[in-house]
Amino acid sequence: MREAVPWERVEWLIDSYPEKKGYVRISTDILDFFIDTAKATDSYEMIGYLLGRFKKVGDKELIQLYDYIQCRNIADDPTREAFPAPECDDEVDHLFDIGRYDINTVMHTHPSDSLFSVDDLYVLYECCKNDHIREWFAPHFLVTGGEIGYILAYTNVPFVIQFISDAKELFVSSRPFNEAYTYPKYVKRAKSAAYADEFIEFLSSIEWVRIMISSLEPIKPEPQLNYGSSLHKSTKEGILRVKKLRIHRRRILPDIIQKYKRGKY
Amino acid sequence: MPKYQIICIKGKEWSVITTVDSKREAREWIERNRDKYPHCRLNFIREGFEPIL
Repeated sequence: MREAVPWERVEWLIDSYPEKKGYVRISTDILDFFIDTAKATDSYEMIGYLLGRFKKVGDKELIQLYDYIQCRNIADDPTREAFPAPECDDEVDHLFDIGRYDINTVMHTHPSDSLFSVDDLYVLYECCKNDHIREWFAPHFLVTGGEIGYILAYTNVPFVIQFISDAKELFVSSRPFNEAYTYPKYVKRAKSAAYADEFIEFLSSIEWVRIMISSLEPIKPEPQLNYGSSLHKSTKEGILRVKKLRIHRRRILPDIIQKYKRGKY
Repeated sequence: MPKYQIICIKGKEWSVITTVDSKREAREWIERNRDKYPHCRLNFIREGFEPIL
């Protein structure tokens, strides 16, 4: 069973990003899940829940997400939308009832590198507006499987996400969606689809982060330049480095010989 | 099944080059034609969606 880390590992973010309201820590397991999902995602959207714990510190909210449940997508057209199967909600309810987790949030995928849709933001709005249900701010997550592959997170409060992988830690600070190039289009679409004014107003409060999945993957080590049989002769990089070294030697050695002859060595 | 648009991204601007029938076709199209669009960042999106810029 996966466990939460001590809250001190998240709390220090409050001092580093005092202007934010939410602080999210995402563990290696979830990251691996994101990366695998992005690679696997084909024409169909996938959906699941991320699970973890939350804590309030004054008016700040801290969240750790360290587990997930993959759900069956029961949408009529799963190539364009995603709705979790009821048994998935039952499982989350059960895990809450037995006290294993106290927070969950939605993660879904897009088969191409496309932004969240107006409908995705409406789902967020529905989650946010019921304050008696929603005691936390947890962002919704979107993973895209296009040429690049992104993780997006979006919610209605300014937040920071701490991505923890085996290789590195990344901190990503949210920015207002109403400063995005596409924001006016979303407002226009929401109005033409006759969404409530309250929802259109809600759009202006959305904060989001975007991160390339490749930036979370482990950095491949540079080929080591060793003498003898372990030299990486088979790689282009290795060959290039050997050539550079030979040129360098040709340039430097005569200078050393001259200096030696002059008695400076 | 949704169609996929091959798009050319230049900074914050983007335009549709062509439309194909599947994600696999979109990937293959980009692989074949990358050299013809040296000034673009090629990507594909589902019809009706906005790219991430």
